This record gives sequence, structure tokens and C-alpha cells, in this order.
Amino acid sequence: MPQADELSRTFAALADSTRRALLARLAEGSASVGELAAPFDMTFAAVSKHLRVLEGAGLVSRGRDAQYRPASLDARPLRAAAAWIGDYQRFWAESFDALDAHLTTLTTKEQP
Amino acid sequence: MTGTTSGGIEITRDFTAPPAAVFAAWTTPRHFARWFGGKDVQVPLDSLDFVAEPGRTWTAQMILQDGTTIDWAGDFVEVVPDRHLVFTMTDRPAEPVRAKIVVELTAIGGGTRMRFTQETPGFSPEQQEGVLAGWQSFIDELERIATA
Repeated sequence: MPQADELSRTFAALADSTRRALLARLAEGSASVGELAAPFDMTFAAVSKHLRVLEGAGLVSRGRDAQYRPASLDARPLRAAAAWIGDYQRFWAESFDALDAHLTTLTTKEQP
Repeated sequence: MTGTTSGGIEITRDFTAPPAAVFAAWTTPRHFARWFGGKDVQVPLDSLDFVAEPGRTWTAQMILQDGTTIDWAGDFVEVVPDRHLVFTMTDRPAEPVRAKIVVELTAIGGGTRMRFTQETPGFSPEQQEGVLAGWQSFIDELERIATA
């Protein structure tokens, strides 16, 4: 399973609904801070702050153009996050199948 | 029933065994070793350090079919017999991050309804509570984006 510290950063970044909305917007294509701020009724400063968190989690990269610096989605950490959830869902589903079987065995043994 | 909650994974299962038996299966090493990880893995009983008391650390080793081993570790947080179990776990004991697990048992008929949740790592308690109901659709969206 993926590195826990990277996952922590990814999930912490995803824990905020505004940042999830920003990512959903970026999934449609790169955007400048101004373009991102417009539909959210947010200041540029607030959007920039969220973008820095997303950048820190590796979910967003910024262009080099000093004036414009469009933000782009990087889906790789999302794959790791989705994989974490999928891996554990399978792990527990298989565990609980075995738990069910084990409980059934115990119950059967206890019958006279 | 399996789903993704505000902060992670949620699974609800019904068992025909009573809550006391399900609780014992979670908290007794010789039972836990039999089912943890599923039927295709081995958890040697002598690898388990597993005393279900609040504040106690637990460790377990899991041997996969291909022979690789996984070391698990965590701490017991809350232990309420036959009803409620909270503990943490990780498959990377050297790292500080632990995922919190909550198991709630309710008697239904002669059996048990088990509600299981595992928090994703990285959430503060405030974030856990604050995450909005849109999480499931976002995760679906994530998977769509991630696999595009």
C-alpha cells in the first residue's frame, strides 16, 4: 500500500470542500487563479492559499509564466488515494468473509 | 454493504452470531488470527501481541500467499465489551500515521449488526466532522479522473 505520509497529505488536502471543488474544476482543464476564483466568490488570496495546499500535496502543478502561472491537475496522488480506499475495502471484505465463516464454525461446534 | 464515508471506508455486515461472539472474534488473539486478512493469508498466533485494553499497543505479522510478510501495528483506544471497539492500525509501523478503526456491534434478532469504519489517514478530528456529504460523489469523480 502507498506511503502513508504522502497519503496523509493527499487526504488532508481533499478534506476541504473548496479544494475538492477546485480540483473538479481543474479536471476540466488548466486555469489561472482569477479563473478559479470567479465561480467561487473568493478572493485571489484565498484561492492562492488553497492552491498552495494542493501543490504541497502534489495534486496541482503551476505553470512557469510569472504573470499567469496556470494551475493544472496532477492525478497521480488521486490514484494513490483511490487505490488506498480500494485496497482496504477489499482487505476488509475478505477479512469479514473469513470472520463470518469462522463465527459459523464456532457456532456449529457449540451445537450438541 | 460497503461504501465510502465522509472520512474513509464504511462497511456494515450482519452475522448470525450474537454480539458477544463477534466481539470475542475481534478481541481474542486465537480468533482474530483466524480471520484478519481473509482466508488466503496466515497470521501466526505467536506473532500476535494483542491485548484489547485501552492504551495497549498491538502488533501482528501477516504472511501472504507469495510468502511476503506485512507487519501491522496500532493501539487500542476504546474497548466496551460486546458493543464497541476503537483501535488504530498501520502496515508501516515505522511511520507515525495510524488509521483509526471503529467497530460498533448491535444485537439484531439473535444475531449482530456490525458497523465498521476506517478513517483515511490525514484527517484531523475537525476535518472528519467537517467533511461534507459530497464526499462519495467526489471519490467517484476522483476515480474517473484518476483512471482517465
